[in-house]
Amino acid sequence: MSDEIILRVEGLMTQFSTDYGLVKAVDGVSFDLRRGETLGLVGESGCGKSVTNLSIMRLIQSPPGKTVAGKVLYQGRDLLQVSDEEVRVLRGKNISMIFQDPLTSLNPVLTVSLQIMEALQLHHGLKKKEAKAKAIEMLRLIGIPDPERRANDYPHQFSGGMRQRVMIAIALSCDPEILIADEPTTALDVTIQAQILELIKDLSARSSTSVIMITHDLGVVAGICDSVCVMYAGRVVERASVDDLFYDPKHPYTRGLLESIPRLDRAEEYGTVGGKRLYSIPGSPPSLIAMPPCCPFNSRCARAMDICRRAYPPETSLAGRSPRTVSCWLHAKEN
Amino acid sequence: MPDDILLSVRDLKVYFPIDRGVVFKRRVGWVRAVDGIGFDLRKGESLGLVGESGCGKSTTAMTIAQLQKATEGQVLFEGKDLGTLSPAELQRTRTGFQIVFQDPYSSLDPRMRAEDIIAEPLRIFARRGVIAMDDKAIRSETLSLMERCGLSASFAGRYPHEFSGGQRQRIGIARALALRPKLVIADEPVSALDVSIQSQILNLLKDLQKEFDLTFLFIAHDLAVIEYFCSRIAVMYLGHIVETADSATLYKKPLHPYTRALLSAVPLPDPGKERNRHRIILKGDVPSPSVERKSCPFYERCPDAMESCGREAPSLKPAEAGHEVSCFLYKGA
Amino acid sequence: MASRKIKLNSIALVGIIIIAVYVVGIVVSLFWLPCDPVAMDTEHVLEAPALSSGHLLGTDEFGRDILSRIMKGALVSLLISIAATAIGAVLGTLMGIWAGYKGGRWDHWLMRLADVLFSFPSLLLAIFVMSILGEKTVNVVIAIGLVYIPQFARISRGSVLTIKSNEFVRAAKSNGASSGFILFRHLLPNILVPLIVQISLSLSVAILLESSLSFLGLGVQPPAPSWGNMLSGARKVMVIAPWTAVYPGLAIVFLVLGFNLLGDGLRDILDPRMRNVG
Repeated sequence: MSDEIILRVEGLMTQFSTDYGLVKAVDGVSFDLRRGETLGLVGESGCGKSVTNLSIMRLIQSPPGKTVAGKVLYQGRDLLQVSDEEVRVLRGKNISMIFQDPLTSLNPVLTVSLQIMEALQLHHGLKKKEAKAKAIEMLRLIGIPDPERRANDYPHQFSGGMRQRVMIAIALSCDPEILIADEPTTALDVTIQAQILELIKDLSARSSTSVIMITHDLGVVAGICDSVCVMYAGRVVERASVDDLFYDPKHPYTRGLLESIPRLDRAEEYGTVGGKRLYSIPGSPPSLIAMPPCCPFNSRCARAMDICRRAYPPETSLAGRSPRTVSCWLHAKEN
Repeated sequence: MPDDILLSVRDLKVYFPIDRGVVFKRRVGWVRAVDGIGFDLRKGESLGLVGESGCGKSTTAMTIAQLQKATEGQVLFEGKDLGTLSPAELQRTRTGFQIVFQDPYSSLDPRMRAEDIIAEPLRIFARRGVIAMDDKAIRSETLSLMERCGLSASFAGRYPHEFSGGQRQRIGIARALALRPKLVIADEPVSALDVSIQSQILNLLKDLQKEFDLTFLFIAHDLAVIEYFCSRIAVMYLGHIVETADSATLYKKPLHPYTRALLSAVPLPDPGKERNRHRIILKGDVPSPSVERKSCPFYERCPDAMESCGREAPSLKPAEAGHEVSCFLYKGA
Repeated sequence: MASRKIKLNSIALVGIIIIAVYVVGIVVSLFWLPCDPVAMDTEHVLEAPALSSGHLLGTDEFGRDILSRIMKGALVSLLISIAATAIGAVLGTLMGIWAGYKGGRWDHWLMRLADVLFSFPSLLLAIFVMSILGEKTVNVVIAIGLVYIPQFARISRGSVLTIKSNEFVRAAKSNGASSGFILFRHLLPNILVPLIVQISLSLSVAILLESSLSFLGLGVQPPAPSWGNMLSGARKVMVIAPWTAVYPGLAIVFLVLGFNLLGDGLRDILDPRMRNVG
């Protein structure tokens, strides 16, 4: 992982107008992505991690959603300001995405090789024969047995895990600089998940691809990410290297989460074996409509102070070997 | 059968027919969702059925709950074979076992108010004369159940879409407890919930277990959740139980190669441990449950497979006290 | 459900207004008509519409007042389409619910029967039924109703299958509910939405079918007025007296439009109710 920053997101804001009011799905998100780095965007449903990602790729459906503020700086340009045509060129070639449900993300009426070839022909201008050869090679690379024959199969003839591999093959076939993976293993069994995560790790290390991994599973984050952004109610509440986050979490939400998930490696202390009870963060994630201008976590926070109910905490940088920030009044410094 | 065994499953098989044809259909095969399983559940225990998709755990739960017909085998509740009961007797026996469902969004009728959803089982059986409760008693019981499950009684008149996922699940739990069952079958009760809500519901279930003296059959695919909640665990693969043990033993000394692979695949929220992890990566995918096989169901993917494993299937035998495994690697199987 | 505020969007509103105009006209026609709709007046044949003559929309080839005939015909058309839709909806829905809930062989054979009915073009099927049963008005109702059965069967079966897969159906069963209880308390209320939309749209098509049948001489027999047979009679004189075709035609068009708009609007209002936000 180098120090070169290839993607910088600043103050991203995306909103949706609904029948019930204005939903501020992403309310000021900033982070950097370095070359070769795997960044985790972690949070529960409604925290805005998927919308952040779609906003970066300009895939937000314009009514009812709209990216209203912020910058996404890539290759010296702001992706939010460039023309549709330029973004389309980048999508798939420089920045690729894979989604959660491989069943609906693959075209059911095209063979698998045709779908891989489409990306190659479109972005690299390869001729049909060369594209077919490269497609078969990619299938072999991602571990599909008997790739020459299986290249002519349709998506429904593959299992869920295989389909996800095909999605990865399509995404990586054009050697993108950035791979955005939106909950790629959530719908898969845990043994298949292990295979897929290994694959993503290998392939991205091989070509120094940066990965943005969106997930709600902290175990996945610990296994594959170099750095992590924890999101809550449309904002980044903590940003740190993976070791710092897990061994020294600063934000009360992060700490609450880490203490409330059942863990196999602590089986002896907790539950029916050890008897200790899991911590529970009280309350539920907030509705994103008409949010008051204060810390969104304050109603559930064990350490909420008066100021937490009155104003939104600033993003504070903390000292350490790797850059880290936290948005919490407990750690705010006098600036 | 000894007194303290609440539920006994014997050689349960559930096969789904595969039919082909547009106008006239013919049977071309069977999906062997559950292929011969058996276990006993003692009063006060919480037994976890864990496995990946297609292993048959949900089908087992639905069959035990009498929502799905068994192809072969017996389900004995309090000594009575549920398959031999008349429809009227079965209805009455249902008060003894209830279900908590997985999906908080589809397990509640969107057109009914919360209190009506919870009261429905009481109303059905009161009308039949099985329980003696009038409308007032039902109402007060419903409200008290709501409070006990962490929902304010003032929400009684609201509709499901006005509640969050976690709150809906609480309604489902209150409904399951309305008839004061002895056995609660929990089919993936926290899988569809956000991480920060999961521990709330798990702790609620634990408290309710103590307060209402409940026995649990807990189905999940998340090993860590099962480990936390259950006292005993049965691991399923392709319609078979491959290993049964106490939670502590299963985690410390897993015997079956599949159990070991499963445990090694679970990601731990600890970067240091993850970096040094030696994962047993299984090759290939789960095979189809419609193929009839004479071999061990795990044969094609087992890293420790021997020749004998391909020729015949092992059965569940005790390896040590309270720890059973279905594998030729262990003597006695 | 009752506490939810219903947002009437403009589409449904326009539809309702149009239909309301017709209903008012029909109610009025029960007590008063500008002229006798079957009274022939050979001295005033094919008169153009004029306020002074007392024939607001003109007269037809027999000197009969077109406006009165349209008003009288409206009642017939509406009654026939409501009755036929009711038959189709009730029988079709019962068939579909049974097929969807029971599954297996019931589902298979009931749906094949529906497929057979469905494969006939609706007008041809209606003509066929009429030719067997005879030309009485009540047979028009039966014919059109028959045409609708497969449509309602398919929609209700599809809805039942979707609802059946929801876990609250299993929950009801585990709570001791009988099949009948589940069907009436849980399934029926939840499939009402697509059914209501379909009923509204079916009413519009029924009007067209009835008009087509009477145009062909198979429905309401002259001299009793029906929009369809008015159009049929107007065929010969259309060129010289366009009002004889235009006004009955417009009557058909606007009522059909009204039902269509209502159906579309209802679909928009009732569907997004379930969507979660955030």
